Amino acid sequence: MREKENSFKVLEAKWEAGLPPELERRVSSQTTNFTVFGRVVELFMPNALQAVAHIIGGAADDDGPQGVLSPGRRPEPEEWPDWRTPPGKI
Amino acid sequence: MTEVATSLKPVVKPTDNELIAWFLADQNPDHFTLLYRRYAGKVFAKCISMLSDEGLARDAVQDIFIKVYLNLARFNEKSSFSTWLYSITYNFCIDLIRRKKKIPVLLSDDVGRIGDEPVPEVPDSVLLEMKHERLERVLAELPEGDRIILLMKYMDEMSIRDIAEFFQKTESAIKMQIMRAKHKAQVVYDSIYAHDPIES
Repeated sequence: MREKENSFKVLEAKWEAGLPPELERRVSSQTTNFTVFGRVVELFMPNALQAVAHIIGGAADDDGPQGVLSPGRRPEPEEWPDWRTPPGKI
Repeated sequence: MTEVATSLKPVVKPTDNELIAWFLADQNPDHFTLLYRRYAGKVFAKCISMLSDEGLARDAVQDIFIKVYLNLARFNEKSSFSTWLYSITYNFCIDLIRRKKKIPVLLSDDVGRIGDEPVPEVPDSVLLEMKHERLERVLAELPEGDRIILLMKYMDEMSIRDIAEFFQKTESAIKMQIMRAKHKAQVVYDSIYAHDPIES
């Protein structure tokens, strides 16, 4: 004996058939744009951030990407300024 | 030889979770397109049923899939992908109706409110065996909340537990709401087709 079809499913199939095919192209072009944008950000963002850090006076990490910025130099102990007041100058 | 071996390999359809994992690993839009092809029709059907406007439904499908694309990393496999996608769809359409009508859609607040008056039990077969043209008309006449709950139960075949989770209500409240929605559908049917109650 044939089982009766669920009319909700029949209705769903009817509505599904009305899906416009050009919608896939619209969604896929939008998702492709997002992917490309994401890759561009991924590629250029680290260097851009480093450049900003450099501009505001930061130094590049030795372990970071090479050839972008010169590594910072820690001053030798003899170069450290001595802020103590010399004796007899009070 | 390799070609023959390849052609003889059984074609295994990847599961939704596999497609999602591949997509998250390499961000290849082709994997997302496969998910789109699998579910776009069903999402479109839900949008049509809720928005009753083909143009709006088309735009809604596009926005829903973009939303899914951007939030796919948040899918945690607690429920199936389809359940997750359909709840995004329902929430999106409910928001759209709210904004369009500028009135609160009787949903979460309405669902679960149990009145005192008894509701006669309507067998599932009354709705399931109704002619689909008539069912479409009856659904269009129902309030959004009742329509959504009937679609979840009979079109998506969601469990009472999943529906309760969606509305954040108890399972008994949902069962009562389904009973009420079926009764309302029966009343609407009787009022429209009073002259021709038996489908020919």
